[in-house]
Amino acid sequence: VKDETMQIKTLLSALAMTTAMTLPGLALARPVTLTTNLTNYGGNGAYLAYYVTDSTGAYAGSLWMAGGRTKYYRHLGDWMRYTGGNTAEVSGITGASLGSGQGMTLSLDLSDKLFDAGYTLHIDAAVEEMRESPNEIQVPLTSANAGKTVKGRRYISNFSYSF
Amino acid sequence: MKPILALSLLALALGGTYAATASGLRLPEGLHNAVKAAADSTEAKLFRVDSDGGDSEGHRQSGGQGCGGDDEDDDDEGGAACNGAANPAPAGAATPPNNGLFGDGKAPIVKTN
Repeated sequence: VKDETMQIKTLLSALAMTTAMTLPGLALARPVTLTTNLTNYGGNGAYLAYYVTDSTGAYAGSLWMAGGRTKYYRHLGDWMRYTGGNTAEVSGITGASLGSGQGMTLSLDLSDKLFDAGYTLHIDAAVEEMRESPNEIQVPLTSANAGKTVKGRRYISNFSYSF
Repeated sequence: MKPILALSLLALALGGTYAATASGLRLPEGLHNAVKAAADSTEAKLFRVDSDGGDSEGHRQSGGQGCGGDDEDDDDEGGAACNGAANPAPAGAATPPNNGLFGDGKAPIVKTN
């Protein structure tokens, strides 16, 4: 009986340890929805670069690129400055440009570390033959800002993110 | 003296050719093509780039260096890109970049309306 008790205790300890090691891993990411609505600016499709800077203002990475042709990326001024136009930054996270008046909903599985840790989401926008609009959206990634609507300046009517 | 005279005649001929072209006169086909090719080779492709960040509005930049101009085809499909860089892989065709921002490499899902 004593041996069985010891075995059970050992098993329980191992279970507790593996659970403790697994749970933080499961909590590292969360599904996040980014919603962007464009104004009726009346031009061609808008290129939009979604990227994140950390608490020091340094580029942390890109989340999405609306628009697939790199030759237009130079008009996304701040994103270009941060990345040098490196397409590897947006490989696998690129979609079509967004038309005037259109809305877009992005569902991403993002790291928990992005929230309430000083990170800021930026969106650069550009439309062919129209004015560039770097950093059109700038919103700190916090739990408090989730669900709040942020207004854009030129091509983006509004933007919000939610968990 | 003869070389100077020859050069002067050549300059007059070229000037006359350009003047004729500009005024819409019809030139012999061979001469017309030669003039057009020469004009095309020196023409700088310009496109408009407006910046929201500064006071300058509607300034122009050269579209040279093999990038092609912004006035070219506008579809989002394939093709070579500026500086020889390929266009990025679309979502779903490759895993998101390993930049520590994405949770588990799932491809983003996008919906437009």
